Amino acid sequence: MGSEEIKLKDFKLKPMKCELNFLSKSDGSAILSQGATVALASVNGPLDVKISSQSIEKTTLEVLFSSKGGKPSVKDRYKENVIRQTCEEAILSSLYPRTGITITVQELEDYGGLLSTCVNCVCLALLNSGVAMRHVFAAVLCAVDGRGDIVLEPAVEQLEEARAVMNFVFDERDKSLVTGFTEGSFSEDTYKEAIERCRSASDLIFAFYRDIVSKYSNVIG
Amino acid sequence: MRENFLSNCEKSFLQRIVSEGHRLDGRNYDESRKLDIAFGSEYGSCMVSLGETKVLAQVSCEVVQPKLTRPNEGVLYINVELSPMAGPQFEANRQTDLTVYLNRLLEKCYKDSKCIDLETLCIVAEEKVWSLRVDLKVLNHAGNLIECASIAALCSLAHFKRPDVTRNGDTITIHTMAEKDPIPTVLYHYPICLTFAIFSNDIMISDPSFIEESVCTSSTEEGINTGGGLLVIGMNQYKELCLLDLTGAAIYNSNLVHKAITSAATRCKEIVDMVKKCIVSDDTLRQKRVKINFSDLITSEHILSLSRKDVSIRLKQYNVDELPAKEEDMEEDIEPEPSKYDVVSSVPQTAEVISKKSGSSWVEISSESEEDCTIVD
Repeated sequence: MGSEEIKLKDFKLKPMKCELNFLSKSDGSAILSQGATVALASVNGPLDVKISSQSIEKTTLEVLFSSKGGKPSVKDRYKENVIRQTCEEAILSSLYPRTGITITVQELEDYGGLLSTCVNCVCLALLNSGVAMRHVFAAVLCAVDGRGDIVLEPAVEQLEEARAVMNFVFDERDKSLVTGFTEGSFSEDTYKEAIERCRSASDLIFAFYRDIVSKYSNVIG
Repeated sequence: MRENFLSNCEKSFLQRIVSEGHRLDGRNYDESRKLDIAFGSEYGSCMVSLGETKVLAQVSCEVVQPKLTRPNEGVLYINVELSPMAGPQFEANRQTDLTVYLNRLLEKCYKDSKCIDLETLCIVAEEKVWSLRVDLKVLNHAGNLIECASIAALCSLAHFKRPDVTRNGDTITIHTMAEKDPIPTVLYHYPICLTFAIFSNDIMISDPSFIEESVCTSSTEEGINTGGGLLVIGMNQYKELCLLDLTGAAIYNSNLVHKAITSAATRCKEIVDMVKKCIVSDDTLRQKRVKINFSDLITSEHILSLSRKDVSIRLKQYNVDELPAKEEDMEEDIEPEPSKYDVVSSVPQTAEVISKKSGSSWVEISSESEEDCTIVD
């Protein structure tokens, strides 16, 4: 009974703040904060690339993640991979053959859920750059705490104590899972429930995207 | 490969207006762009913007073995990175002439001017010293990178605090921030670099923008130098010169250098005062336990920004009919304007927004209105 009551209560996503076109030299850029976690993303492209890395049928996507200080690590490469695979699915790369698109992500603050903030920030930067996309995407983070309950958008302390941390990226059209990456151990049922919860939570992020785009497109159109 | 090329008309136009006493952005010759300093949540992290040029700085520290030649001094390491974020012409993970040049100038300005007391960074002589690493990430290159980067480096160094260390016989304990108050870095003086662009060995402008920088260092079509160059002056708040660097043509007018130094002295004092003021106000805010975060950078009044404070959902048994009922009524009253745009499917599974072909039409002006407009003699 007790667990039922918990499930019924409202879940709050962390406050979101975003500014598009934060950088003047990039084709598209966005700075996004979700709670205390802040990321900055810039998109350049389509532009010409070296012949060796050109592809005749689609654009070459390059993703660079840069941490705040210190030397680059394996974790940064992992983040780059996740973002690249997500974007490759979303961008209509066949429209820009023999070109390259460079996405650069800069960490500004990390208080948990940096990767999901980065993914969302990249999506906003892509929207700002005007690159043709198949769908927009949103990442939601959740954690499984010691009791086995699912916590959406956990705080730093909750993340440290969590048994498992799951990140899901959904597309906007069919709300289908684009990318999923998990850490820790959990049961199959928990995984399925976590997907469902994150899926419904992703609606809010899509609504946020729509709000920000309609806010400035109203002025232009 | 991906170089920014400067067109001849851009170049001659800029040279002409500069010789007539104007600048592209309407500034005076000795006017600088707006300087903004924002601090992150950690000690030693800040973002400095000079106009549109933005640099992110982060200082980190670790315990290392000292150099054999200087066994009782800490180590200072400065690293500048230019990623494609700074501009599309930069390639990732590649050292360019510009990065080497920036690194060298900043090392001259901060290491060789001995502004940091490296001896206080020593824990055990010949064994353990603190190594400070300043990481500078260029986020947007819109001219005068060196000034922006040097202010960012100075700001983050002055803002940084390292953990306290106690020695008890042979054992050394590094305390966390919660156990003991961290120690700020000791700076003897605050040097910064200022850039002046020189046009045809005569006109000197401060804080050049990207296009002004590239015009003044370029040569004419025949390869003849136009007598332009970039003069970098490193100076501290006591008007002491720390570094002087010139790229481009040689200056044969010594008055120009004198003029630059006097102008740099006043500007330098202003900037250092601002840096000190920012650090003091940031410190008092932190004492009051105000959370400082880079998310404060996102302004709400900007047209391209948006913030949502309460994004809440109810995941189960969420009743859609409860809340939006009123809103729906309101929406019905307002007739949506016919859209000027059509949504057309382009590639499979996608849609594209294009303006309607019949979107624009001729407007007939009635004869009455014409009569109103007739001019009576």
